[in-house]
Amino acid sequence: MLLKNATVINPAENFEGKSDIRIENGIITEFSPNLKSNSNEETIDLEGKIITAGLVDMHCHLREPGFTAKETIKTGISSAIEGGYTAICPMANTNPAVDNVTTLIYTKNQAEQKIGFYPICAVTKGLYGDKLVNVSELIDNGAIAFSDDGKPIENMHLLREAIKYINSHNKVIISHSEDSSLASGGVINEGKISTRLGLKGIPSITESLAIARELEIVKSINGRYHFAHISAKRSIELIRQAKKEGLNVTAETAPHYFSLTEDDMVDYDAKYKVNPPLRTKEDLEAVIEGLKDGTLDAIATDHAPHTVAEKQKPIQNAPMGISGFETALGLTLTNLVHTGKLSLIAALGKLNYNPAKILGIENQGIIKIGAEANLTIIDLNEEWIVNAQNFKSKCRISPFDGFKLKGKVKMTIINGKIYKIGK
Amino acid sequence: MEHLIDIQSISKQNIEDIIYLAKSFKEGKQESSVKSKTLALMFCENSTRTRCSFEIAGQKLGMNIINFDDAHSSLSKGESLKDTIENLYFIGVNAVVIRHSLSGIINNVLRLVNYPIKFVNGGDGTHAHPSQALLDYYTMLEKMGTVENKKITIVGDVSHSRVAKSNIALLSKFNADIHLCAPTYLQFENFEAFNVKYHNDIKEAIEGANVVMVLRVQNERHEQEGYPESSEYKRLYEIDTDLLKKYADKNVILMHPGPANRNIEVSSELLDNRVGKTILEQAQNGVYVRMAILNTLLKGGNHAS
Repeated sequence: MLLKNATVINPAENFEGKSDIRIENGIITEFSPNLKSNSNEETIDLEGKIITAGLVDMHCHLREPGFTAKETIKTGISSAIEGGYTAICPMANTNPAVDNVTTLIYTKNQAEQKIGFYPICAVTKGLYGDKLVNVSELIDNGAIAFSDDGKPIENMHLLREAIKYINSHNKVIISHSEDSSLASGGVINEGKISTRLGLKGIPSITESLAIARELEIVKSINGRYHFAHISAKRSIELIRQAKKEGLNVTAETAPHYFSLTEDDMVDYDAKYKVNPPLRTKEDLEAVIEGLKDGTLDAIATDHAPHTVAEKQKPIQNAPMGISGFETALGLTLTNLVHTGKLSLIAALGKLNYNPAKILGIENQGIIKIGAEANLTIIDLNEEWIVNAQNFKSKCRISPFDGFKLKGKVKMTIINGKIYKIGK
Repeated sequence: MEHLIDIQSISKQNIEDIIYLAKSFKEGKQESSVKSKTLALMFCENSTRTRCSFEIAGQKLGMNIINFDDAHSSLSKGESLKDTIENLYFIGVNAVVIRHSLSGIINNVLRLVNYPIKFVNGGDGTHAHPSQALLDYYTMLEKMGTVENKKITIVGDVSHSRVAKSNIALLSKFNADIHLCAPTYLQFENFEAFNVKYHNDIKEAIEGANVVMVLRVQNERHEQEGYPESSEYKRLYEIDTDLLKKYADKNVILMHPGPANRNIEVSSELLDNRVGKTILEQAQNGVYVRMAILNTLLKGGNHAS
């Protein structure tokens, strides 16, 4: 198969230019301009389109096993492919949690190798925060990283030991940074909106306080550590400072933190309810600044599906989470690239190369000869309206429903297999 | 005016119209336009004044009244509020007054209900209590003629008070000089939320005040983490005759949305003397104001199926 006439953007090698790509048996065999098509070879003209390395989502929730009314591994994968993702890293907070080899293998079997599937396993058994999982056997069976995401690890002794041990196996812990005494019972960001609406607030120090504490641990043991879903200005300042000091830390944010603020929540609509909560305009600007200067390495979806009925509950009772796969690229291009905040190559790097590099995922996030053909084809200028009713995800409710976005996934190519998007 | 959910979503003109109509009802100059319409009172949280007041208001207007409480309804079986309300509409209910512990519950249900039933907020969580603010405003107008540039000091459990929020929203529209007084742990956590003056010191807060509105300080609050005992509150913030005489305007009006904790936020002696009578007048005016609200929302069309 020959992909012709596209502009290739390969953040892994800082390459941007016209090039053709030949794929044979799922592998990229040639990558240079002006390739001639062989007889009988399928040739796809991608004039005006962009080819980049397949998007890699380092943070999502597929809800299976345990919560299959919200999403299944199958529907989650369809949704990810629709969003341009060729690799995903589901979090472990299922029921049972992915804290054991049996559940880990179950999830991998459900994925049926349709997509690059790299499960993140729990740090502690049952996500209870007290006993470390059997790290090495989980790694041998495919754990790509470890996280109790959904819950913070509160026991600092355990966390310190866990970082040391997991790092010694060349894996990273992904932190859900939250101080639960401050977050307890909170619904939205603590600020003028929470006060006006009479909703219990979640102050931004809920996040930054946990980050400050965890950074001290990482520094003291010279650890390697990753911070998930960064939402607050102060958190970004702390991580920026830590990186300056040479700490081996990385961080991600999610599209809603550079697209929405607490001001969008004035009508008690739980479709905006997410943890960490949407914060202020100042925080949103700090997130964009953090993406620009590299403090925030990656954009992850934090795809956190729930049923429509759950998201229609009174906001206090509704669960937290946003359906994220199918809007992540569109929001990134619309709000970061078309606004001139990030170059296209920098933005794409945060969606493919950086997350693959942080987690050490091979064959993903890079376009090179001999690698699996995991690619995303984009029309940078196509305008489209988000319609949550058409989501492949089971979670067909979204704060972005009705948003007009500029920039759209056209094809997702996984191991040489083409999925046409929006059909 | 489609519904009464909070003060922010109605206009100054709406408020003036309700006040005028309430006055006409009180003076016996106004006939009901909503006779034989049906009102459901859905009180999912304890209430004496508001529920009885809406009930009597409805009766005086010649309405049919259904009393509905969550403990003895399908809500206790887990039926969603949307489903309950849509069923009430089809049973023939034209309007529903909701009191609920969750802030924003009516905003939520309004988004989901597909039929033209009218909603009146009877107090939702720590969000809004618009009929209370309207009756407070009515009472202030009766006493002072206007609130413009009058110093109105709200004292007590500000942070959990839907009454304070609705009063702030209303009094701001009419350019009152609004002051809030509470200890730090009962103050709003965000001072940018409302454009008012904040005080910790009671003397400074009521200095020259034309109205002192005392809010209920729930004893339970003082048992929460990070809060001192209620005696600490009483020591610094209890409103009594001496305090009013010494600092407030000589014609100060004492108000309280009820129910009062005697000798915690306000002295028993003050409640029982002449100054305390305004609080009972508030309750009386509440009936006329609620008649005006129901009459305004339900006159004209809106026939249930």
